[in-house]
Amino acid sequence: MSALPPLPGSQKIDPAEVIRHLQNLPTLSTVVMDLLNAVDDDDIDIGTLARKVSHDQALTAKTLRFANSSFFGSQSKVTTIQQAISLLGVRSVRHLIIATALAEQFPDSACTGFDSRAFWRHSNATAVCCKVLAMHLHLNQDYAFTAGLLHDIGRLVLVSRFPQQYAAVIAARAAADCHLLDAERAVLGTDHVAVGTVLAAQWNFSETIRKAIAGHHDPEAFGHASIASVVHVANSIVQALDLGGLEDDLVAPVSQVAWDGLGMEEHEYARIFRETEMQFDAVSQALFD
Amino acid sequence: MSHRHLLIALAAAEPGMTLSDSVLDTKGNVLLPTGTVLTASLLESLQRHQIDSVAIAADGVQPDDEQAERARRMARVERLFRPSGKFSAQDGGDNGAPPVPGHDATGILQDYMLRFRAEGNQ
Repeated sequence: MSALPPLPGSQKIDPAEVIRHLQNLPTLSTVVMDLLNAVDDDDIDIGTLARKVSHDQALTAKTLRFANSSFFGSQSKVTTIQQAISLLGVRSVRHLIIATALAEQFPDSACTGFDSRAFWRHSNATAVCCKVLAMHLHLNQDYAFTAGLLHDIGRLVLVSRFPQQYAAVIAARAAADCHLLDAERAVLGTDHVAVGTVLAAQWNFSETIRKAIAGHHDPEAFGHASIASVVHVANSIVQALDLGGLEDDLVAPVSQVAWDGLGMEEHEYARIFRETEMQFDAVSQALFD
Repeated sequence: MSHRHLLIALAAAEPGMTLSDSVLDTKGNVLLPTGTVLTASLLESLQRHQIDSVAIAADGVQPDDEQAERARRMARVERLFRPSGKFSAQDGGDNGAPPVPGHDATGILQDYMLRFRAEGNQ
């Protein structure tokens, strides 16, 4: 490795500074907030959602492109938002809006070594895997998907608001070949979990999503078979499936308590691996092509 | 790429054959992508989805290539599960489970993934 680890202490981030940065973040649009916090609400009608989406040009274009992608195999071309939402379903459009809004909130930064494409691949893959796990465990699939999509949001904050410090984290991780989380703690004195937890409070994310963000590396504290456990296990599964596409990826250790809490057999995991790969292929074709 | 392919009845498909086109369900969702090597369990799953025919590569992957690819994917799993390097700095946080390969949850996940890849799941 060419980069040397930085001197300990030189890149520490003051927690008060993180909070100051977060307070300066623009608030999420009401459309996005509505969608984030109403995961249980299946009654958002197509007309209302279509009207909200159509106010945003970029979102409109993306939704139509998604609806016309091979994933949905529609025979005729989808040209209106109303048609697109009927085809994709309210849930899928909701997820698409959330992901798009977050990507806009944190544009590609000048953080050396940060692979934003790999970040989003990992986030989307974790979302898909959480949804598949939730289906097998009879948990709410929508919560699980959203929690998986947002679990590493703190990392995005660090990368976009503290690009130089985070570049040092990435260099230190490569030099030591250790887990990114450990490099964050050693270099910054904080980590993406703590920052994500503050952001989730700042943006009034629902209780479930907050717990998932706060507990995805330490699910023991959040109860058995909780969404935090689901995200925790999904995070390691998608790393093991190599879906993020990072050459130097390292599978995060799996908590015994979380693993036992899910209580699934090998043949169930084999199906989960297969379904995650298949659905992720389809989703990423639609989103990244 | 100009692979010749054959459309065959699902009943005639066998483990080891390579898909030359993706298989979609009635809603157009991709069930299996192009290039998937069929296994007994995948064939069962296609049956459950009431798929009646699949496109098979006539001059598909040679058995040797297939084995090499499988070995490459298994080696990749080993690499992804390699032990983490230690951080010398003072407060490198500890990251959960102690490293007891093969016995703790991380080791079990690794075993499952290795067997999953060994069965030829791409």
